[in-house]
Amino acid sequence: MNILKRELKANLKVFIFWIIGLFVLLFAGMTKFSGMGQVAGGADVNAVMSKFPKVVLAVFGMVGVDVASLPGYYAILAYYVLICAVIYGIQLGVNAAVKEINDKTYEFIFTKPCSRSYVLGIKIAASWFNLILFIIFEFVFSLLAVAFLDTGEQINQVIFLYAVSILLVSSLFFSLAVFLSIVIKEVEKGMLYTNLIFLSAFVMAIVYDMLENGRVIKVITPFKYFEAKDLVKSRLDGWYVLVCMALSMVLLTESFVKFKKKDLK
Amino acid sequence: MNAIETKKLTKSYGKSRGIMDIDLEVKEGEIFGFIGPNGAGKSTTIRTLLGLIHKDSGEAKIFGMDCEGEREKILKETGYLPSEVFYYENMKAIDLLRYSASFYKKDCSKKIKELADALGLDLNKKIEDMSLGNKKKVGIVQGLLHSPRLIILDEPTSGLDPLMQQTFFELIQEENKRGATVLFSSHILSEVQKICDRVAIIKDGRLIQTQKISELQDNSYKKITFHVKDNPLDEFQLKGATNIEIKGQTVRFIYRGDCNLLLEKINNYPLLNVDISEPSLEEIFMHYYSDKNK
Repeated sequence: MNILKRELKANLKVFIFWIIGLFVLLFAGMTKFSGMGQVAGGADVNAVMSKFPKVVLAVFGMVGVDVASLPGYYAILAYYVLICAVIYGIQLGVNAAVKEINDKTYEFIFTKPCSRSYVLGIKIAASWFNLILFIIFEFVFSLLAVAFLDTGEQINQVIFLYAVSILLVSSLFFSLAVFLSIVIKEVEKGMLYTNLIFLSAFVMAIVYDMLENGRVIKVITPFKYFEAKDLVKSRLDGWYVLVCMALSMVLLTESFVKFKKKDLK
Repeated sequence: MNAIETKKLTKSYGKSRGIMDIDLEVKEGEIFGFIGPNGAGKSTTIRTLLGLIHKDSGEAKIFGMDCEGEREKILKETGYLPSEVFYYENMKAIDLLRYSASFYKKDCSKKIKELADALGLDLNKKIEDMSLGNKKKVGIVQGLLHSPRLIILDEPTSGLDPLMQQTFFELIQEENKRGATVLFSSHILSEVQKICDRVAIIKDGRLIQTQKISELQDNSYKKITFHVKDNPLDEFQLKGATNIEIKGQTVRFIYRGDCNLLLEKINNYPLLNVDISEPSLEEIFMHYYSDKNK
C-alpha cells in the first residue's frame, strides 16, 4: 500500500496536465464540428477533403472517414486522443520500470524487504491505473462534449468502443515500454527505443492508409488494429482485441522475468 | 554464526571491473572494516550481498541465508547506507523516513527522533534543499531506524564534517553495543582504524588480506622522508624499509619495524629535516604488493 500511495502521488502532477490537455482537445475540437457541415462558399467538406493529397489525410487520420458526420468527425479527434494516450502510456511504462534506476533511488527501494516483482507489480499497477483513469476521463469528456453540441445524434456506443480501443492500444505500448526499458542494458535508452517503435508504427499506419490492400502492414501497426471505418459503425475487431491483450500479457510477464535477473546499477 | 560469509564470490562487468574470488567472513557482533581504493570492488561486493546485482559464481550468505534466494528475509534484518544518497523529489526528510519505516513491521518513530536529534537533522526540511552532509544524515537515519541486526555502510562519512563524523562513529558504536554487526566500507584507513575490530583490504577486485586492527596497528607502516645536508646520498638500506627512493639529498621509504632502529639509523646522517607520517592507502597497497611479489 505504501508504494502504491507514493506512486500515485508521484504521478499526479503529470496526470493533471494530461487531463487538462485532453479536456482542451475534446471540447475545443468538438465545438468546431458545428462549422463542418459546409465550408466557405457552400462546398461540401468531404469534396474539399478529397482534393488533399492522400498522405496528408493519412497523417491526420482522415482516410475513409466522413468528416461531415458526427461519428466521422469524432473519429478524427479520437485518433488524436489515441496518439496522446500512447505517448502517455509509454511515459508511464518507462517510469514504472526504470525511473528509480534513472533517478538512482533504486538503492533505497530495492534494499527494502520486498521482492523485486512485488515492487515492479505495484508500480505497473499504479501507472496502469493512471492510464485507465485517463481513458475514463476521455470517455466522460467525449460524452459531455457531444452532448454540448446538441445535435440530437447519439454516438455513445461509438465513444465507448473508441475508449476501449484506445485503452487496448495504449496498454500495448505501455507494456512494450515496460519491457524494453527492462531488457535494454542502458536504462536511459528505454524511452528512446519505445518512441522509435511508436514513430515507426505511426509511419506504418500512414503507409497502410496509402495502400489499397495493406493487410500485412496492419499486423505491425497497432494504430490500425481498430479502424475508424469499423468503429464509427460500432464494430470492434475481436481478433485484434485478443492480439492486444495477449501481446500486453506476454510483454508484461516477460518483463517480470527479466527484471528479477536484472543487475540494478 | 557468521553475519556475512562469502566463498569465492565473483562478479564481472567486463574485462577489468568487478570482484574475483572474494572470501569474506564477518562475525556476528563485530565492526568489520572493508577497505580499498575507489573502484576496488567494495560497492560491487556490497551490492551483491544486498541482491542489487547478481553474482556470476561463488556463494554469499548473510546470517546463514542465501543472498539471492532469501533476499527479503535478509533485508528485514539489514540497514544499508549507500555511498551516494539519492531520494525522491518533493519529499521532506520525515516523509522519506516514514516511508522507509513503513516497510518494517515495527514502530520506528522514537528511533527516528533519537537519531535525528543526535545528528542535528531538521526533519521538516525538503531533502532536495539539503546540503550533501544533511542528505547523508537522512541516509544514516534511514539505515538505522529499524534497529537492524546488520548495518552495511558504504563510504558513510563522505560529506560529513569531522565533528559529525565523530557523532556518527558514536552512533555506530552504540548500535554495535546493542548487538548489531557492522560492515564499514571506506577508502580511508584511519577512520576504519578508529572503530573497526577487523579489516579486509580489497584491491582490483581481489581480497588482499584480512587483519585485526590491533595487528595492523602493531605492525603499522610509516612513511619516512628525510633530507640531508651537503652531499647527496648514493644508497640507503635498513631492515624493514621498502619502496626506497633516493633523489639527491632526499630519501623516501615505507618502514615497518622497530622505531628505535629507524631513528638510530637516520641519526647517522647530517639531517636537515625528517618527516614521519602515515602512508596513504595506495602506498600501503604498494607495500603489500611488493611483499607479495617477494
